[in-house]
Amino acid sequence: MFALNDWSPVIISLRVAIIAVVIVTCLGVPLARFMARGEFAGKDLVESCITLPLVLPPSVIGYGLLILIGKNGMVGRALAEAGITIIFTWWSAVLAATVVSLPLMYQSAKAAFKSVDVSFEKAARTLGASELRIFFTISLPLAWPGLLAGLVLAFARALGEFGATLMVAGNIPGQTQTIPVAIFFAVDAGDNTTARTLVAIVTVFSFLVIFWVNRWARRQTY
Amino acid sequence: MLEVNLVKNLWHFNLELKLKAANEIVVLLGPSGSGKTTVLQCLAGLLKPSAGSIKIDDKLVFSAEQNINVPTRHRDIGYLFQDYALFPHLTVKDNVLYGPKSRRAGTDLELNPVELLDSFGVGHLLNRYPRQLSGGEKQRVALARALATRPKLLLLDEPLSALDRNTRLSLRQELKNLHKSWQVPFVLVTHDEEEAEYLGDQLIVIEKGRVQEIAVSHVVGK
Repeated sequence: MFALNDWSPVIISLRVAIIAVVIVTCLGVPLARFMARGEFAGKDLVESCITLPLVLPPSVIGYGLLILIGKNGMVGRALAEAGITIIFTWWSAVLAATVVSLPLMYQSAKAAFKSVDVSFEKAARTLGASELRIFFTISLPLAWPGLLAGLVLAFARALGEFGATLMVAGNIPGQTQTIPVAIFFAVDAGDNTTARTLVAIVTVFSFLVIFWVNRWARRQTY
Repeated sequence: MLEVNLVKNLWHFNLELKLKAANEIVVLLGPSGSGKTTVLQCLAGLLKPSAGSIKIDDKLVFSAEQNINVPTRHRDIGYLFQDYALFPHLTVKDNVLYGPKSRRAGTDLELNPVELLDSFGVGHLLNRYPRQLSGGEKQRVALARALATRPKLLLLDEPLSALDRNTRLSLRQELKNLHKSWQVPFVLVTHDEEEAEYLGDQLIVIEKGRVQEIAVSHVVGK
């Protein structure tokens, strides 16, 4: 019923999703905090650009990334001169997963920071705290349940990324073949046992993560 | 010594205020929307006045002419927020320690937070969280937190409005005693005339940003 000869798609997928989520967190959380409190000209424009990958078809994102990091792409050529190739390596899968999951992290984090009463931040300011201290001791802990929700959504999205990944990372077993790509090609080749097993792994794993986070977040309300 | 001469342009009227106070309680009395809280926020540096100057303890913290605007955290003020703004994720003890830890100046730590809380009659609540406190207890903890940094000026925004009548009557006496022992100017905002007359050494009535009346009384124990 269930059998898997090659575990590499699972390992590659986890590695790609974890690294993507780390990048997305480091970029998305400070960005979200800045956008939640700051006002500047062109804010709506920046906001739309960050959110765009959420609604674009994955193939459009894949094509955009190809133009960017492909052998003749703007960034790709500069990297090639430095002796670095990203295209069709698992790093490009990380890049694709990062681009598609950033909007989810960003949206959740922004909502979470906005939900923190500004008077707590003001109070901290009157008590002599620097902006950095306020971020780490007030804003971050109070926004934490929302941030965690964003983290989980971003992780799930990164783990499930298919279209853009296939276009920029391809389907190289043991190197760039992630679970969704492996499922697609297993079904295509009539290997239903492998497809079924990978589907079961992804479903159970995703369910457990979301279940645990929901339970945890329910206990974290002040 | 507190010296204020400020103008703040608001969208529906211009706020203008001049005041000079030694170690006394200045009460700003006016209906809601008259700009009282705006004055406090300007003094605290949470809002920037449009023109004028502010001197706290003979130190110039704001001057439109000289382009000086000392950030809130360096103004040496204590601010009691209307809803107290106690950090919900920190215990009473950590709330009170937040200021001294933020400043990290050795002299500030002369003030033992436990003793301070004891002097407000809430020493037994050290390990409680704000959600576990009554209105009166929250107010005392918030006062202790605001004073823990030894401010040169204490700003109080409707300090008694959220409390029931009995607590209010006993706390306003405590506020008077507190002022005597701390010997720094207090600027207190209220819409309650009786409270204003009871507490104020100097009474400033504002309506729609204009000072309507200034009354000075030094009758102690009125």
